[in-house]
Amino acid sequence: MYAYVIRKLLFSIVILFFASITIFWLVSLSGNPVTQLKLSNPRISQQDLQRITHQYGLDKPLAVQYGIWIRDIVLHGNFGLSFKQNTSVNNIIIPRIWPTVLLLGTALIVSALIAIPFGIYSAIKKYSMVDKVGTFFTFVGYSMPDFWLGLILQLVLGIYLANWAGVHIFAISGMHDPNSSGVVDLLQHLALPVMTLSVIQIANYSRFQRSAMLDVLSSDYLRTAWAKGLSKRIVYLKHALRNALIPTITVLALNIAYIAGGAPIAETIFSWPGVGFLLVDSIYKGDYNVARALLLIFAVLVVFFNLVADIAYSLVDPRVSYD
Amino acid sequence: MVEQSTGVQTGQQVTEEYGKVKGRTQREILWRRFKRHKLAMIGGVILILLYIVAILTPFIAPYGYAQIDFNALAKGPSMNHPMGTDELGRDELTRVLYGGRVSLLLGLGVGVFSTLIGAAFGIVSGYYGRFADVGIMGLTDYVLTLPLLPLLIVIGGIFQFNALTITWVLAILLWPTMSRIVRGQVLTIRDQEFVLAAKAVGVSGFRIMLRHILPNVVGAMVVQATLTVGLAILYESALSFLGVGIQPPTPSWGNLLQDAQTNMTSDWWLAVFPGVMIIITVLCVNFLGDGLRDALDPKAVE
Repeated sequence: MYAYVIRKLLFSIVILFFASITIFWLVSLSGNPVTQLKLSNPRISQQDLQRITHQYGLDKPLAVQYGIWIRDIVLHGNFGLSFKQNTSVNNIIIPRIWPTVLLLGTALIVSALIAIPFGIYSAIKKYSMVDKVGTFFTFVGYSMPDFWLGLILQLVLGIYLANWAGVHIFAISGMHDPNSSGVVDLLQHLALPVMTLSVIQIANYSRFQRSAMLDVLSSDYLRTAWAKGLSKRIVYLKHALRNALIPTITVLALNIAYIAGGAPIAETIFSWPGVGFLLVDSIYKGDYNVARALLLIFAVLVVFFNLVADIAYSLVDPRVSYD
Repeated sequence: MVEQSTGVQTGQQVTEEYGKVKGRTQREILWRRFKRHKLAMIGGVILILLYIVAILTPFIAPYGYAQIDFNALAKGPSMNHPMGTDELGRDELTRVLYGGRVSLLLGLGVGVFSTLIGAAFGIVSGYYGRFADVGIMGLTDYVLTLPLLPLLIVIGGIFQFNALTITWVLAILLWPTMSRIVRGQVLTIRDQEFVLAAKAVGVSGFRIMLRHILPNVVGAMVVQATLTVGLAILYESALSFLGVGIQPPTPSWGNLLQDAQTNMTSDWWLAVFPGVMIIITVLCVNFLGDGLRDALDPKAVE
């Protein structure tokens, strides 16, 4: 067991090492920010240019630059300096983390709470009307671009509802009104981005929960449970549900990183001040050091949650082998 | 003819007659199974129509895609402009048609190329095992580690995609799922007797993979390829929507929706129609994939 975990961990570190090289190299292709500085300000002196180049470490070979970058991150948690703003990348990113965690966490909880009972119900009532309609809508959910859903929610629930019906429930941009910081205000701002992120996840998890439950329902030990004359409640909730939840929980863990990847879209549409919006914004502004740091953080998240899902799976399900 | 008159049938004739009465070829069985999946049939038909329209767009579009109607600036749907016009007086239906051309062909391109890459890697890795397997699966895990959408946003921001480059980049990033699925299938096949027999008579590894293993994994490949087409269309539209995908003036469903954002409150039609087209297309692709999966499932009973 420990050997299994350690091997997985080592493998993850190797993968992350290669990913970090790719990310560093890819972003370096955006060109030298100092040359761009010279283009935007032709009167800048040669000495200033040299000083700035030295300050960013851009006078060193690329491999050395990578070494310094990764060393500072691993040893000091320091992501370097911003190319466009007169501050460190850490100072730009840190205030953006909590809003994203809040948004994604809420979306994850909301979608799990809706999708799991729904998936179980449609498995028990297989091919009923509810199941068929549900199946159709999960397909629609799968096939819908999340940014379009966000746009339409913003238009219908945010703008039309306020302008035509005079109902001001949903706020369409930001995290707080300028002169308010209450919980109600926060929820009003949170509602639409959470809906945007949740609909697709609900489609995803409920399909998954349905098929996991169906697998369990047709298994031998469940037939035994029925044969013993146990009540529906006990069979479904005690015998079936426990096993049927295992794959869903794994997928939930795996999906955290995936949902985080979808954050740029929901956050950009609703100007939610999180890391996703920051990523898109830093690309628009050409602040590539911030984008580089965020890409690495996203990659770490993917690897971390993959690892957690793997280990959790092997702990929960004794049939998984550790080879 | 002579044999028949004797009243004695050879074994071959019995098989032939039996075949005439009852037998169905593999293809017929698949088609019968697929036909029963109504949504997949409808999805397939709509998709074929969409692709025909995409190919014929220059001939059937009511206006040119940059043609301006000064009498209809930002007007809602009407007889002349079924999907309305944008603030420059360009016909939205025409722009949706041209945008669809880009989105649909791109989806198909990504589906084909990622399938080729993924299937090649998957078969080699599953068949040879050992170092090839470790190396290729390591590469697969590595690509899956890269955060897809953020990475695409950064690449798009740095290099400015066009329809062709975005196809390549998506194909290069979307193959790993295919290679994992194909590898899994190959692992169940490679130790079966017919592969062993082929090896025993001295068939080369390349030929075994191509002629003996590939036909047995094509089913799973087709399903995954279909789903990849839908995924590619969604990613392209998301990137173009964020302004880092296909750049105007080339219309795509994604950048039409980006345009729509400017005057969304008044010009709702600009936000609705391209989005509905994306949903219809991807929905049909997913239904088709689902139907193919059911039809090709070897465990399904006739």
